[in-house]
Amino acid sequence: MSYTRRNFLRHTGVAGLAATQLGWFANGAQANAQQDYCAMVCVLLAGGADSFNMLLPYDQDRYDQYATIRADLALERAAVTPLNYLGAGGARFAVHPGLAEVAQLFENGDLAFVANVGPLAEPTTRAALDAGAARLPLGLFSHSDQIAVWQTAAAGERVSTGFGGRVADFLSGQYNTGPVSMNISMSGTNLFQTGTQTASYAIDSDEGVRSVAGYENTDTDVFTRSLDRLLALDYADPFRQTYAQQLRGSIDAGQELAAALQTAPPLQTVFSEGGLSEALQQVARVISARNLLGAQRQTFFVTIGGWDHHDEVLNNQANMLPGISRGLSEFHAALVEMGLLDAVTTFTISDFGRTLTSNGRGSDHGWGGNSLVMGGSVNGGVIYGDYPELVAGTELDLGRGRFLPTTSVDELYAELGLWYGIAGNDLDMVLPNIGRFYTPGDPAPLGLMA
Amino acid sequence: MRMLKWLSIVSVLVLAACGGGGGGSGGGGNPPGGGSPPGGGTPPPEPTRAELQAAARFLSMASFGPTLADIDDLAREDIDTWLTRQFSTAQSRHLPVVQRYALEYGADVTMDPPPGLYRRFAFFEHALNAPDQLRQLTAYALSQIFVVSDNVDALFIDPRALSSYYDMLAENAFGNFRDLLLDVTLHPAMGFYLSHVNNGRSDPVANTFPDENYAREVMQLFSIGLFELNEDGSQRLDGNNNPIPTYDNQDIREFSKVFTGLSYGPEQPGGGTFFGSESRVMHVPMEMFDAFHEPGEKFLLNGAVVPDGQSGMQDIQDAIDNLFNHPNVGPFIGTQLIQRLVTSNPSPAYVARVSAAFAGSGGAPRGDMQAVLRAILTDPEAQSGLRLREPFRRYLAMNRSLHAGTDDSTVPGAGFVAQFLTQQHVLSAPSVFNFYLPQFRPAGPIGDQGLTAPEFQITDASTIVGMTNLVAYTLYAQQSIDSPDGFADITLDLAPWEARAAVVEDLVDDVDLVFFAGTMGDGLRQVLLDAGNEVQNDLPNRTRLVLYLALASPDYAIEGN
Repeated sequence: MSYTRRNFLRHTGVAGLAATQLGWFANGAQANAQQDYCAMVCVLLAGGADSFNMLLPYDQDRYDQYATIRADLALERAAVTPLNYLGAGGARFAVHPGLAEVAQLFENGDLAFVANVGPLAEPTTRAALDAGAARLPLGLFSHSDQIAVWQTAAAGERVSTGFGGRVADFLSGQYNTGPVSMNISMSGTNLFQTGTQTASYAIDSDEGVRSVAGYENTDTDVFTRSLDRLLALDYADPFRQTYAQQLRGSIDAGQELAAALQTAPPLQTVFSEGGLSEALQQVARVISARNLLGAQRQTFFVTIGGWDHHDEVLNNQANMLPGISRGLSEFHAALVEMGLLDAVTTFTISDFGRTLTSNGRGSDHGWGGNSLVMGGSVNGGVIYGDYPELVAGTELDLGRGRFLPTTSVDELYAELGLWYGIAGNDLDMVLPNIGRFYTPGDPAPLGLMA
Repeated sequence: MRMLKWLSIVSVLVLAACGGGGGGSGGGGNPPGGGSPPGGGTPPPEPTRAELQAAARFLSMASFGPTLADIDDLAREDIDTWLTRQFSTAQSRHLPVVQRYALEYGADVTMDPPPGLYRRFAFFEHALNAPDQLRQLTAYALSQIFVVSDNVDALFIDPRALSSYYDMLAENAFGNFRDLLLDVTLHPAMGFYLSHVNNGRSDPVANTFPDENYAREVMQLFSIGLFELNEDGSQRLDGNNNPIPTYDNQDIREFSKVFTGLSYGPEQPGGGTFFGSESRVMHVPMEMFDAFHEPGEKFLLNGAVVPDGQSGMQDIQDAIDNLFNHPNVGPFIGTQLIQRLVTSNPSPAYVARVSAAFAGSGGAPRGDMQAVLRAILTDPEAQSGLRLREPFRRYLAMNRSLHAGTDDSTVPGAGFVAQFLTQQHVLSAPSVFNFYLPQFRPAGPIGDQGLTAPEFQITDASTIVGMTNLVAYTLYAQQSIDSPDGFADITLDLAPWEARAAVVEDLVDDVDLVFFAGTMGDGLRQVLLDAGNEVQNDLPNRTRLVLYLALASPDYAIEGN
């Protein structure tokens, strides 16, 4: 078997401090105590996932169109997993063979797709684009800008706060009492969870919460007392100030979070090793400790990298998609175990979809792509948005099968925001551009969330 | 598990501060410097404290970590002389080190652990011991601009790919930027990473097109960036006060035609090659196969046109020229090199001076790397630039300044513990966008002042504690530091430090000079003195405790003032 870096980093033998169980809470009691808990889990597939191979047309005519435009990137029709959903004009769809669990969740009504969604600065037509009259997202087709815009939902400008951060700014005080940020990241700093008042708290997806070596909470410990003194010094420059604040805050919040995690009841659901499963297992652990953290609203952020498949789309997807499917399915099981399936909504985002046409076994940067949304509050088993006609030269094709999105990131996030408890009139506090796409008081833009 | 073991060791050692009475006497002496020369004649004057501090400050920027001996040597001459000598010091190559390990331990990529480890060993060995420190460090800085990474498994397991790539960067570090850009383009590790190896011409029958990956990133990241820049790094604005993009998607499609037809070179000189080969020969440049190169004209930037009928390699040369001569390169690359070497927030005037050096203002040709490096390192602003030290460089500095080594001359540091704790290791970034973006601005006091601080992008609750623990791990690990089983054990040589620790002030003075260039704040100093004095009758633990606090402190985490 070929050796992977992921394997090796794990086998270095750097194991975390195991969580010990100091107390038990009956699951039932917890569920009753927390009726109004809500959490969003954002899974970023970094690099631009080729999502037209994750969700593809299945009825023969549309499949043939797909196969034509995709050339050597096309999946075999006999290999894909058809979905029961029937779209407009007799359209049927299938998912990639590596997404078996995702298909099952879809059929169970706990998962939906949003088709051809992407960043838009305003509702955009081909005519306006061709006339040079359309406001466009900045840095279209570039990883760094598009990955940012998916997190900020502010397509026409570069801003430094993200949807999850603005949501936390807006309502954390109303719902949460604990000292740890309501925005927890498994993947370090990120724009999605950054607000003006809110910063994310990062934990390691393998090791969980880290504690400082040698730091104990006893007065006789010279290292502890010395470090405390150091972190309380006045620093003249903003760099040292920031570092000291961060280290102090990380130690303090870490102790709270570690204590909560140790006390929370352990989960029975088994998660696979590594990847999305490992990250979502940590998310589930933190969710299980939400009462101890005084959290009624939380967001979580996970990055899974490596999707920039300019080469070997078919092989890469075959290797990588099962891990995504498995992770989502295991997380779903953990939510069921906790009685929180309706309370937690998980969704995928990515820099962009990719070109429908091939560069010879690979695809290049596109624009519109397909996202999935999972949770008990999702009106599942449906494909929302407008799945485009996969034919070269159509109105939505901007060349090489790069599709103009027909649903904006703003509309997807508006659905989530409304479900999360933000009133229609307040949506523009967390989605500055939503007014171009949605009027408060109207029915929700997609009908995605119950 | 190794981590749990050392964690408990640290707790025991740090708690062993039971005190007897007494205390060290005061009076910091002079740190050990050079001795008197043998024989007759007047010995040269000892360097002043100010000279030592200036030397330490410079070496913390221009090497992987100063030692007391390095500092003393530099304090006795001057920076220009040091630079000139470094520019002509022979290159320490990584590939021969890799080959040495391969001979001894094997090179089969399916081995466990894989031989790709050897390139990490080679890097660590040279970072710690190579005399051509500035060349190695410049290659390190370039590796964060011209990013390839072992986060792709093929580059993780292969021993030659990234060691050869690093050698190529180091070869070009003191040469010309144009040659660097060409060599990066033709290196198979880059060809594999950004998928232009075996990138074929358009095929209308198969409905395939040239891969756009390298065309995009060579512009966005390796030469000109997204927006037109003035010489001082500021964005040029159009009539509506909007920034001006340097290229669009159509330009990328044109450039993508240029980077077609390349495949792997031969394993041995004169050996067979063919387009489409999966040989993954990673230590020689890629070769051009004109039959698979996109024919026809290609429209480059600023109206340049590559004519139909040229060889593929000529097309590439023209494209490289087109990018190299773009006015953006000086400020775009110059600003990033300043950030990698000196400070996160150079003034526009500083950037302009470096851009001018790049453009050949000093008489050197356009793109002369020595002129650029001299301009960066000797600029007046270089004396006081502020930035958060990269965690990986903190780790390297600790090991170099504290004389990490083994019984032989090898230093097989894999860096897995460091990487696990801090998410950073050389040539191991999560994507071609490196570990952090040059324009990253953290919220809070830094962002409020409109400053950028790229290294804060990988500083979060998990990695900031991780970095702290990495300091502890390095200082207190009784066994080998981050060296896998079966390879020589790496340990620090703290004896010289312990020898000075009988008087806590002396130890703190040394720490101040070597790690802080004499700028240690009074607050930290007092904490170190108090902590050191609490540890009685135990010089090893006193030394470690003082070092742990100093190297984990916010004072040290930030370089400059």
